Amino acid sequence: MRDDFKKKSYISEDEGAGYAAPIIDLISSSAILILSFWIIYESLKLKIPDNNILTAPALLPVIISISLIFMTLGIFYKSLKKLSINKTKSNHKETDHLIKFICPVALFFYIFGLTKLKFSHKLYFSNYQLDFGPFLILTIILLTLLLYIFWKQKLLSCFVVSLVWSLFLSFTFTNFFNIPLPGN
Amino acid sequence: MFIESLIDIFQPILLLIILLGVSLGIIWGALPGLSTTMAMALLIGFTSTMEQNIAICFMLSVYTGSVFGGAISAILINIPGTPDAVPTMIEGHALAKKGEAGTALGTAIFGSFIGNWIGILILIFLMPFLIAIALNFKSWEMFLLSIIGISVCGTMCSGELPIKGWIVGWIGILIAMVGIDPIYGIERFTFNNPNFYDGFNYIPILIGLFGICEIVKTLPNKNKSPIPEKVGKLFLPLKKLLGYVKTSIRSGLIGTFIGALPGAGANVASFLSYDIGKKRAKPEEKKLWGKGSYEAIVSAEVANNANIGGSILPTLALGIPGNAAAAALLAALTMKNVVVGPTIDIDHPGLVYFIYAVLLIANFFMYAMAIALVKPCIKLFSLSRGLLLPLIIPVCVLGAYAARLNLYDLWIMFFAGILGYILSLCKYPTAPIVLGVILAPMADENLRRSLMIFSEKDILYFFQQYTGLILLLIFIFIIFDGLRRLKKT
Repeated sequence: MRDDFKKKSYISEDEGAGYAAPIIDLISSSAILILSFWIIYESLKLKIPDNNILTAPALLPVIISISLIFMTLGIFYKSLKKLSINKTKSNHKETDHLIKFICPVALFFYIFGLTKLKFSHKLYFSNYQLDFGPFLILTIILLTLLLYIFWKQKLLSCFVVSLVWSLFLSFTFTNFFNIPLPGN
Repeated sequence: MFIESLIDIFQPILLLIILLGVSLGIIWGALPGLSTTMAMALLIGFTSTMEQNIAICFMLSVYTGSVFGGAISAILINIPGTPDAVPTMIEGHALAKKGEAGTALGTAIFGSFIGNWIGILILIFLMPFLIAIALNFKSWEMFLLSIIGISVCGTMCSGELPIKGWIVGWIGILIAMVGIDPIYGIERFTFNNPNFYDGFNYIPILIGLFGICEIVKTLPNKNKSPIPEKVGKLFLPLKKLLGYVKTSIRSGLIGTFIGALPGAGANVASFLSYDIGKKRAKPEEKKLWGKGSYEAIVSAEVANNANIGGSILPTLALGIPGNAAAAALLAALTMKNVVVGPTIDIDHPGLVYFIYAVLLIANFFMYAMAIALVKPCIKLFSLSRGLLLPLIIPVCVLGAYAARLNLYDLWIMFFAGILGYILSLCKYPTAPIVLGVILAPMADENLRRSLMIFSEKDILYFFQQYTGLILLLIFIFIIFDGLRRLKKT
């Protein structure tokens, strides 16, 4: 990071932003180009009230999509040019891709469960209540899994941490913030 | 009115909330990988059921605390807690290696305190002027202002390649177009899905982009750093600190000005101030830059903290957030039915003064809590990322859900997080998306309204909109400057 700072000619808020590998820029700009054309196509299908184009709901989406096409073409052209120069160079690094996918995939199933499962069992302690529902159970499962993989401790320790944290969140959100838990 | 607000704030509950918020912010900021924006985004959900004043106190105090917090890990373990602490890391860790970690931290605390003061004073001074100017803005000017906001944010977020920042800002506008059109009530890009009728709420988008995305990105990293056992004394002699008055004022002005630019946050402020400070330093001090300079720490820390006041200025006066953290603050205010913008003082009398008062009190608490929390923070550094980051996931989920109590928002958060991750892999910045989503309704409505007015008048009327013409020229300049950079790089 220190060296990056010294090399940079323009200071930016997002330190990771800038040129990517030409092939990545090429793919991303192609995807944005397709998205822009699709938005224009969908916008043209929208109704034009009073036959006045100047106030049509599709006006801004069309303007934005057209300018997106021009901007993306700039990146596309630059990356194409760079690709032809760097043809022989390969920046491909072998990394552990599987570990990168664990978190998003686990998160997908966690949210899927939260949105699909619906049950609730309430326990009362004087004026306070604890909701046993999908949030509590799925959070314990997700956290135990992620902690076991990334924290690398014994399964029991991971489970205890997950249990305590999930109970704490469920209890505070329900009783102190008065926010119902998802799925309950 | 300001004195009344200051008296109002001296209620035990509000003071306690500020103390808690500042402490939480410092600890959050100190933990590597947990940024100010992430803290602000996650806390929106927590504030949903809070009373308005309590929510404002909480958000502002976390903001104040977390910007400083980044300096602790930067100096002690050579990892910036927040990205804007990189210059502090360069200088502070060099000093820590010489056994001067305590004085480096003391200088950072002093710099942060002064920076906050400068930012707040400029905010108080400039707010009435900016509101007075903005009250004269009509539809055309408001449209241009929103487009300029997104473009400047794009430029500031991806310095050498502004076009990438603009692209994601524009994508943000397109995301916000989903839903029922506010003028004619026609469905736009809803594909007959009832979940799309209300459009995409920007709170789950914010949490997805700055919470989930960061977790997915950082969790597989295995870096661990050595933790120092001793910190040493925290204070530099007052005489030495007084020698940095000029540097403090210059850095404070830079920080506040940068903060007021949409998209440019503490990161740009601290780097720019550090860079300018190096060029302006006396020859004997200049030799120390990069090897452990106290003046350099003052430059960076004053600027990134002055940025807080700067970022709140356009947020309150124009409804255009100065940075992503201010966007989260805006979201929290919107949830409390606070309409920010030129009429804020008319719609919510006294609110602006209350915000000033909170910032001032939070700054004093920040100074005290920073000194108190430095040593406990060292113990926190021994906690692994593998433990901390997964624990944040349910907090993200609860935050996204709490905003509208809508399960569908969890999917928005998830997909925003994945989009942010893909964009970061392709080296696109993420902050302009948030600004695009927030400002798109303002741009859309005002563009169509102004075009309708222009179509009824002759062409001369367009050229008589002098403020609009100036804003149009500014927009053209931003685009040309960006294209020039593209050509240069």
